Amino acid sequence: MSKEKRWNLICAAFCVVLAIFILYLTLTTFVKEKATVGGPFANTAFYPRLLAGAIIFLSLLLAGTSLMKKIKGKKTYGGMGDSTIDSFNEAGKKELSEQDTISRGMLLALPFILVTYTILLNIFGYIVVTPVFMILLFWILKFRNWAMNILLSIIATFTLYLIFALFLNVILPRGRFPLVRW
Amino acid sequence: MHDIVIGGLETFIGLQPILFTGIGVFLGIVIGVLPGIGPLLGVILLTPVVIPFPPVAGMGLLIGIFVGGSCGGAISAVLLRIPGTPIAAATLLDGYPMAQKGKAPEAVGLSISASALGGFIGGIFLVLGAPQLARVALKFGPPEYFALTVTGLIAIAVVSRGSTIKGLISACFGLLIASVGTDPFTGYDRFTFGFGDLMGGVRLVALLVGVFAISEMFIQIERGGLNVKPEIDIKIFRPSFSTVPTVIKNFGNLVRSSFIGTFIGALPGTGAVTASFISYAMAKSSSKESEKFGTGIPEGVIATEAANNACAGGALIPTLALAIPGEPISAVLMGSLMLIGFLPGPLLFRDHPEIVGGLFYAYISANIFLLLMGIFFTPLFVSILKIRKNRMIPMILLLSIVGTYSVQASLFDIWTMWFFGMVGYAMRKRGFPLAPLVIGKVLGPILEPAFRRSLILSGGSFSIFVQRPIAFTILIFNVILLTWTSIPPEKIKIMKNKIVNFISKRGSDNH
Repeated sequence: MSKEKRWNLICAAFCVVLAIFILYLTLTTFVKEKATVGGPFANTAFYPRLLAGAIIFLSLLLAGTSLMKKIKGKKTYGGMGDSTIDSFNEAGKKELSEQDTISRGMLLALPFILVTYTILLNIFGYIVVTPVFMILLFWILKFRNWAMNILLSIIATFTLYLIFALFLNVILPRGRFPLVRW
Repeated sequence: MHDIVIGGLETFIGLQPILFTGIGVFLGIVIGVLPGIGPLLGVILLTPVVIPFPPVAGMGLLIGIFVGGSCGGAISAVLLRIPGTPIAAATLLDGYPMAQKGKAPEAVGLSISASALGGFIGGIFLVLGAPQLARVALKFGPPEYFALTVTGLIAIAVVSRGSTIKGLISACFGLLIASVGTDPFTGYDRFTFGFGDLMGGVRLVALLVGVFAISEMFIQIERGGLNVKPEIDIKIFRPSFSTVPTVIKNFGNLVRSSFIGTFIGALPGTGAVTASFISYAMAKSSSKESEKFGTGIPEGVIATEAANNACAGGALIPTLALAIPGEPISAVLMGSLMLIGFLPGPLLFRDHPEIVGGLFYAYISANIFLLLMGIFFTPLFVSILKIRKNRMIPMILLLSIVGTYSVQASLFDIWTMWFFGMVGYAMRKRGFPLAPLVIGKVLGPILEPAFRRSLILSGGSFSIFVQRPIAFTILIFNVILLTWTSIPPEKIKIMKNKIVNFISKRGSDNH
């Protein structure tokens, strides 16, 4: 079985499980809160059930068509409708050096870094945490000119502070232990 | 119409709306020039910024980004052979060869002039067509609205990348996400899991930024090329306004391409890429020098750029008049207008004609700004092409975080954004299109009430969708559309090639 077929089946199974979970919710918590009384149009649960049913049907159709058809090896990205992915990095189709890519491990670590930033944002506030976050992010993405890295990080932090906090009157996170009063 | 024209003038004439529109166009061109971003991302990232402002000023900025971004990609297409956005893909067919012949200033100037004039013509169709469509739509009831929103969803699912089935699954999940929160009919909470922040539903900005911006940044990082500097072998230059008379001299090509762009833009599910390629094929078949297309001639550039910018005007027609977005950017614009407090559709034309008029003026002014700024600031835009990915990505991530947070000053929104960022990334890796998910979320608050009200009217019977002729006709069209997609892609490609070859052959036979 080709990789694409296998992934289609996995995705179809995942969608079915998710849709069944939604149906389960509409049959339990919705009933408990008496949200299922009334005819179909007054019933809070009817519309989500209809959608869950449609997802199950479509997922089974996806699984069925994947098994029946030959899948060509071409990889497609699910785009924005106007995906810009393929347009980048085509010039010259150069070999990318180590300077131009990050390791798989670092790529997997990125979400944890972003989550950590969000947690620390709540604790120490925007002004303190953001420059450190930006410096780290620039460094991970191979921008190793330290002077420019630090300068850009500070400029970016304060430019957005100016726009959002001062111009648009948005109160950016100040943290629970504000190290800087601002 | 009088209320729209006069009322719109009153809301638009003022420093703030005009300034914001100009800033939007400038930012749009910058965003369009940089490969990897695109006007869609630009509109999404700047939506949180415009919410506090008056509606015409805020929407003027976003419309400016739409217009500017639709043209900006042509600059990198001409100079680097990399379209900054896929919208400009057809422009490089003649734009890049022109630059190779040493005519880069002329190629860029023609792109900008044709975009501005094409967009202006699209604006005329928008001003004349949208109010008429809204007048017809005022007679629509819930069954018609239900049928129309289903059409919008199916059309986007059908034409999105990846399979149609995956697109429809994506759309259903979008509709489900839209159902999270308090049910407007009964007041019960759905899928909130005890989170008070979810009672108002999943925040649109958090979802948009996560699904598009965050996932795109991860894809870009994964692809590499972080330190690659685009090689531009051309001196910084400024095109001339003399390209405007050149475009006007190609009047037939200009008007035909603008009409094609507007018409295709108004169709749900089709977009500027389709419009620009069809326009190119038509220009080639109608030209007396069709064999020169592809070697770097002005007609080729004019045809593609006029069409793709006129598409923006066309896309706004069903978006404003029917609340049916034809493609992702207009879906986001529609969502932004809803966030500001105005629901697109015929009632907007009836109850707030001054807002509609203001948006029309903003669109038309945006094309005038495009011409002036596009030509004057070309040296700046060309130098922006040298920005490397590893400088850009952290800036976009930071803007995403702060922008999302700023809507409700809520950290929960940032968590929502990360969650949908992961979802968006996973969807793209496995070939599930994102546009139907977003359009499902935007159209969900219209589709569900229309569906349930229809059933209330009919006493619970589904026959109402068959008994109403307009609703029935639209639903039959949806069935035909879905049946069409069951034809194997290879057979559709053969049919498409036959049509294009027929048009081209007919053109060369005539000459």
